[in-house]
Amino acid sequence: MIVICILAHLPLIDEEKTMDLNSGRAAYDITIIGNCRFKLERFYFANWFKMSEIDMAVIKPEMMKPYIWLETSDGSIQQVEQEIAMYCPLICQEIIQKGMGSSKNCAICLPQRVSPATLSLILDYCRFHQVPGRSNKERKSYDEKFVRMDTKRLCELTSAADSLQLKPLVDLTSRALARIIEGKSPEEIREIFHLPDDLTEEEKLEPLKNTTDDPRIRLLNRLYAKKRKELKERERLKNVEVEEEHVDDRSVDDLLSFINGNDRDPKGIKTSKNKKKNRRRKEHQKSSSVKETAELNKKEVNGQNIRQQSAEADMIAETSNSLTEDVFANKEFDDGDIDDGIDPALKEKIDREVEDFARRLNSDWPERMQELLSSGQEKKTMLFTPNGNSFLRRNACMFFPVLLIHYMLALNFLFF
Amino acid sequence: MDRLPEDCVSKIVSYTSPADACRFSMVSSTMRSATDSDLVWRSFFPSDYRHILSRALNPPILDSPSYKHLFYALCHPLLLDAGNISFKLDKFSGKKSYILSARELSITWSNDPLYWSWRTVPESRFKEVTELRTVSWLEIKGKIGSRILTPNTSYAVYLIMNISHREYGLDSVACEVCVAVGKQVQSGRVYLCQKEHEKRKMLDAEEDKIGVPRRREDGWMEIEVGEFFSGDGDQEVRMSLMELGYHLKAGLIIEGLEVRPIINHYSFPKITH
Repeated sequence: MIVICILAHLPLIDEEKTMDLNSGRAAYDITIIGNCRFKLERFYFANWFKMSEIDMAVIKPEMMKPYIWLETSDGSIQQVEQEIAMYCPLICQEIIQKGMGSSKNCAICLPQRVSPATLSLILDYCRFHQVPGRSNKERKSYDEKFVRMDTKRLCELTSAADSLQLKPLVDLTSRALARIIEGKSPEEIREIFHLPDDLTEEEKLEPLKNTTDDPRIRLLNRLYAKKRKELKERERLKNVEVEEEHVDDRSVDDLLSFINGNDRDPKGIKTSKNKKKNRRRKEHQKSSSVKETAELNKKEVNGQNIRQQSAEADMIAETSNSLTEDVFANKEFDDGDIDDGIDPALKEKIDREVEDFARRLNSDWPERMQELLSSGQEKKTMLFTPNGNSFLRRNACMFFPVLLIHYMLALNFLFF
Repeated sequence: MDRLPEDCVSKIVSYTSPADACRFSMVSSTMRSATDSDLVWRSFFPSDYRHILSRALNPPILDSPSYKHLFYALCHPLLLDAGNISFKLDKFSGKKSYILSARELSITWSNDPLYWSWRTVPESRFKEVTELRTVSWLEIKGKIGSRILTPNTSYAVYLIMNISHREYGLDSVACEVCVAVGKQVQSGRVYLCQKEHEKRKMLDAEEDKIGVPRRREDGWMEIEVGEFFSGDGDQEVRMSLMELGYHLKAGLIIEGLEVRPIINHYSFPKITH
């Protein structure tokens, strides 16, 4: 062996080969010692002072190991042994199907969730596990030591492993995180993972119902449910009324066209001004619906006798004056509800939660819910039935300002 | 954690227990939507839940077909087969528990109306309960296959019973109770009835650890028969309560035998997959 080592250090005739030898010396030495006998044979055949190309190729197996180029989220590119990288299904796929990664230019772009630090962790994991000769016990103990890190890194690791489709690592980290979560209260979990506390009080009470049978909590839930039901009912009413506006539009105008009346009188203008104020407020909130009715009215206006209409409008206005305030007061109140700072997306979410919650309660306490529902429905029917007239009148009041304004506009056009 | 994809979070939660999942859903709104997913709740079901549902007398009706609702439905008692077995899932851990009715047990002399009488009682969850009229040979046996239980869980067996006003002789001698699974046998002694004024018995109970009945929430009493561990395989669990002495006994009403998992509410056992 010593002989061979000395031989290795002998100067060679070819200069390039000398340089190669210097750089690959370590590899060369190791291979010599490892394949000692094999090398001895070679030397007997080869010239001591000259190494053939083939020998050089055999001598440096480590330099010949295939490497893959990977690019991480921050743009840095690194070289990784292919067999280790192939342990990740995503990388494997990229290499085999797309032929990427063989050089720096066509480095495999890793998903955004893989940072360089996480990549090195993942590669450590792969490096250990891709070796086939390890026992299950060894692997298990390695895994246990591997997941001993802070929760933030554990989360990042899970995310990265998931994006690389490395299922065994995802399972391992998920279980580790599950062990952290087990037995902890929500506040503790929020603290550990820095999560926002963005559930409303009612939402928080909901799952409690399922883990404890505390009757006090059940009672609270019932109260909340009732409140939410009322809120929902009010919303439904509003929606229904919005629809009803479109429906009843025609009927009001038809009514007007049937009634014969006098010329428009100045009172009409006054009342119209009053309603204009209210209307503006309403328009601000329900601009779309008002615009639609306005358009419809315009069409009607063009087709009918303006004077007649205005007169009729006044008549109906007078009769329902008393109702106006109430209706508008109510409307304002309801609109006040809408305007209490809940944006539509969140409102939708709350609605969904309310429905979900109500359904859940439904399954548990059917009689109670029937009670609540029936009381809610009574409210609804009250508004529809006897009061078919008042409903009409109510809508009429809403149309009034619109109608009158448009008559005024139309008149302006006609006379000037 | 917020930046993890939702199905990753769901996977993590599915490795915990139903109680943990409920608590986790109270953390934040994103965590709640991850916890409410079917992936999580499906993992809490026993593997044979479909088979159990098919055996149910009154399968639960759900308004929405989510696994979460089905889980809650299964946490309420369900009568199986001919109404002789009651099944439910423990809502904290998702483990199975059964109550075998008196008809499912083998009670010696129970067919003879002179010794045992069968009645329908409104407080019972089953069609019939049996009441002891008078007997000296008291032998109650039940068996259950460990295959239908949740594997790798500690279970405890309880005899659900009551004492009628015609009670006689149940407090004089302790009964032998035994739970045997394969080669593992656990036996003990219990008093079926405990009269307050008998101080002697209290001393006995403390020294020799003789079990005494305890009141349940549903109005019945229960007395522990034993514990066992349901391993991986399918073994027969044999449970028995016997008092074969010459004392005459009367007035014991038997509802059934309950096999339920031992749950420690303060530190939740980890579910091993």
